Amino acid sequence: MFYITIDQFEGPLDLMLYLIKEKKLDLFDLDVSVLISQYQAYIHSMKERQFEIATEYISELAGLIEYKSKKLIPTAKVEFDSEQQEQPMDIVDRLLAYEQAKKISLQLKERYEKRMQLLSKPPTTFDHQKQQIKHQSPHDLLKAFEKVMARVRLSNPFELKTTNKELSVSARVNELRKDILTFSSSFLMEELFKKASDIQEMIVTFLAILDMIRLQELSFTIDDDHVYLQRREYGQPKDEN
Amino acid sequence: MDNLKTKIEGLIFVAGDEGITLEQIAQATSQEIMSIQQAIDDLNDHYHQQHHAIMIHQSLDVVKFVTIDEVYPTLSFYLQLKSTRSLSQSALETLAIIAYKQPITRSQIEEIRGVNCDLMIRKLQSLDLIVEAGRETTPGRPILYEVTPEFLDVFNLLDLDELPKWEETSMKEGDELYHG
Repeated sequence: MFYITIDQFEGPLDLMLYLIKEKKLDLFDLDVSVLISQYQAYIHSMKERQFEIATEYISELAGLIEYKSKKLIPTAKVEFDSEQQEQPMDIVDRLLAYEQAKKISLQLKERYEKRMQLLSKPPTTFDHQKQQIKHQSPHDLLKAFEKVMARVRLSNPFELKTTNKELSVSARVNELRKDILTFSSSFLMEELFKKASDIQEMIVTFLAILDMIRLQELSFTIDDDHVYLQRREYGQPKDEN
Repeated sequence: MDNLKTKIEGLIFVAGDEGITLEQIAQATSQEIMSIQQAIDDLNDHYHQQHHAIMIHQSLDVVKFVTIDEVYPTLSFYLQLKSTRSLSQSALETLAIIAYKQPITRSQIEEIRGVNCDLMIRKLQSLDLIVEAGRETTPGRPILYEVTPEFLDVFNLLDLDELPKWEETSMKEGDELYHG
């Protein structure tokens, strides 16, 4: 038995068009109830064979049923219709439009393939700067290279990693307590960020610093752009500051 | 071949696959655009009659030299080209809708296609086949999209009028005719 899988369709409307053609339904005089039962049967059989059905297919089924039920209820003729407001397209209009789009996409494909067979060449360029190169020293090249490297560093400031490191502020506080023992009693805040390799570590480090200030293990002074941290020596009374 | 045609031929040759506009040719040759277009058409007739392997490809007002399709088998053998890369069916459908209904919003495209087109639109934008063309004045001011000159080139179109007609058949008037 040959099955047509759901993957072969571009979407729910594509499936509907297939069913309409398959069951020889007339799109211009569409028997929506037949389409609904066919559509539903198809979705069910796909489910049974464990194909994943995208939500769009289910949503369009609901749309079909809504359309059908609206047809069954007699509508009161309203004189000044809501015509001014843009009405959503009904399912038949959408199917017709989609059928058109499909038809045209085939022609586009043909045109595209034909165009891809017409080859062309890159434009002629004339490099005006070629003559100047010999007046430059290797040193200039080195300088230029350094600039490039600096730019690369700027554009890739952090290493890209997908590790799932658990960083807790309290663990970082403990690390910092050890680290700052190696520093002089007053140091630049940046020192503590040197070991932080990514943005998360930086954030945790900053939070840890704030926490240590709260615990009065560190105090800070700000001098222009620089933040200096002062380590409180152990055994020093906390209220001295 | 007269002088103008020779000049134009030279200009198109150096412009390569980036192409040159009729306006640029007009400036370089101090001639009217009308006579430039005529000369280009004459050149193409000449190439065709003389069985040249190249022709002038025109899309909107951009012209460039391309090889003709008859020599493609020979060229692709020499260049060892694998089968030409193609666009997916969903890309083609989305482009077809935009080309005919432009400027059009994403939700209008989705209404016709019945599937989410967010990723597809971004893909087509990155391929330079569609661009944003302002915003609709309706609530939410959704972004409008339209096709680019690159779209015309890639689909071998002189302009959008060259596309086949979109057979608009609305059922709105005929609503009473069928009992769903």
